[in-house]
Amino acid sequence: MGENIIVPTDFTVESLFTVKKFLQQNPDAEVNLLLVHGYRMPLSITELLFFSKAAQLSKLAGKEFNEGLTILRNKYTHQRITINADLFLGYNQAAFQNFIGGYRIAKAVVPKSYRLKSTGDNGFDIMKFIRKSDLKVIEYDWAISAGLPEKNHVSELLFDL
Amino acid sequence: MKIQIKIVVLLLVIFITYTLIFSAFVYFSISQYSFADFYKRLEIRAATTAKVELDFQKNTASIKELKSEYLEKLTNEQDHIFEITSTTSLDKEAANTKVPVSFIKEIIANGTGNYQKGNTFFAGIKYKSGEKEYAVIVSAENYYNTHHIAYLRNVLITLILVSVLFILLASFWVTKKIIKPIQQITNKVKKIGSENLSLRLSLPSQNDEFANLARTFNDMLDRLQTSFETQNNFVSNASHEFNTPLTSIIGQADVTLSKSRSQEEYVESLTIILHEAEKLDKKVQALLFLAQTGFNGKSQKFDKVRIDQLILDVKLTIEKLYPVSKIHIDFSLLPETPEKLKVKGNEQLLHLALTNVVGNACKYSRNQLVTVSLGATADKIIVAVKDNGIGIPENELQYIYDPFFRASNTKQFEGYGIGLPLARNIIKIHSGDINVYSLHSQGTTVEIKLPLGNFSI
Repeated sequence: MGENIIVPTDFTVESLFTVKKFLQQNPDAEVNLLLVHGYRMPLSITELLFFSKAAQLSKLAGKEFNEGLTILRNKYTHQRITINADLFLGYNQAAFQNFIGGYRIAKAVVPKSYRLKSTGDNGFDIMKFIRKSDLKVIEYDWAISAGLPEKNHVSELLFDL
Repeated sequence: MKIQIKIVVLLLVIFITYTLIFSAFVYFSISQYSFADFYKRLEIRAATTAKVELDFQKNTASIKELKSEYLEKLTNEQDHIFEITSTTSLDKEAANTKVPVSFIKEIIANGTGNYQKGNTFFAGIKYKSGEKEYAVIVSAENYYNTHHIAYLRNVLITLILVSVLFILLASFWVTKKIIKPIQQITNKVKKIGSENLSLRLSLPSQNDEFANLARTFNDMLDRLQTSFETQNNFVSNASHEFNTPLTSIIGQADVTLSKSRSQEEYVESLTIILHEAEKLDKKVQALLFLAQTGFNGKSQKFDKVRIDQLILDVKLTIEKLYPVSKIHIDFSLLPETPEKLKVKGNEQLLHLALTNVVGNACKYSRNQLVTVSLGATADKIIVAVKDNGIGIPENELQYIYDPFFRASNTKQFEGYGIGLPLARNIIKIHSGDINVYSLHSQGTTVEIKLPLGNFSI
């Protein structure tokens, strides 16, 4: 059982750089990385009834993001590092505390200057909850460039920024 | 005969046969049932009549009243009663009731009997009143048979005719709908000729057999186009590819021959020449191989190729071709397991493709740093080549795979516009994908995805 670490994500290839940077600097760490994006539960009863976290995750995470994730997993195939994605479905700080309590997370790896985007109508960035929580926050920074030819394609992850 | 007509006729035959069997079964079973039912009714009447006439002669009036009130009068209903004694003449009674003698004998023998003459039905019973035995025969016309069954027959015939019409229209509509994609494919295929081999069939939205057919056809066109273009451009490709090693060989020989050298220098020089000549030989083989693909019908010989090794080889080749080039190989995301690095392919062809791509990156970035990076997903190997060169204007990106096409900003660079189409052909032969992302004057990234060979260790 390794250390559980939360990594905020917005399901773009660029957001995987936090994971890439962290793993590059801690290749031998025994860690379970949990990529988390905030998601507001739908308000209508029918939507709630048919709401499925797995379906929502696969809807949000595109082909390029998943490919990027498998590249990272293939890079670190040994058992000590696991990478998973999840949605935080709460609304407030207390719910977030519960969430990280449930996963027994003590550390967060976050981007320093990259701003996570909100996905769709219900998605939101969980950075404010991470900042307010008592998690130990490690920040990683990279040169953000809007004008990359391979922007939002999986090859973006293959090059260092 | 057109396939549409064939389908329609087949559907009609199947449908008519089925409907005829179905209707005949309904018609005959209903009519049989009506016969049995009618005989039953006649027998009941015979029993009632016998009771009225023979047992309750005193209360005849009230029973007749009951009978007329509750029993519907049948068409041409007639009753015959006669006593059965040893002296009764059966022939006479038979003549009276207009039935054959055998029918009366049947009644006497079995207790009941049925007989039909035209549309008149006879039912008889043997009835015992007191010490005497009587034969009671009731006859009536089967109204149900004459009217209802006839009506049923008419209804069935009309229905068959209407449904034949319906099935004719429906099968025409259905076959038209089914045949339509084939016609679309036919029309599109008619337009494809050697002058526009790049035309492709549009894939139907549903993933059905026709989509499969169109996809297969497109794949075939890909292969045809590949071999066609390769054949067409063979001379240009060959001169393009042979130019550099030949220059190198000639240059080396020239320099060596310019003055007398020591034995070691000759050996070194000849080694270089041999090396370049071997490279030339490899390229001749690769080009010949490419030229033959799709034409000679032979299956291509694909072996295990390790992509990381291939990239290192490509780097060495490029550094010899363009000594000032700067290539950085980024293996930071190299997968841990070596199986994720092996593809099924032809090493020389893949080498040629990658050399073209990396060579282009070096050339069009004026030998600035080119990064080659590698990563493996669950089923693909991704090789990305990134440069910070002149890029490709956005509106010209769609033409980059056309042979001899050169972007408007490449005038000051040497080239023939063959490298990238050739690379794409090779990647396609390996069932891979090649994507070029570019921003004008900012750089280009070429992403090559090759399917994993699924080799175990």
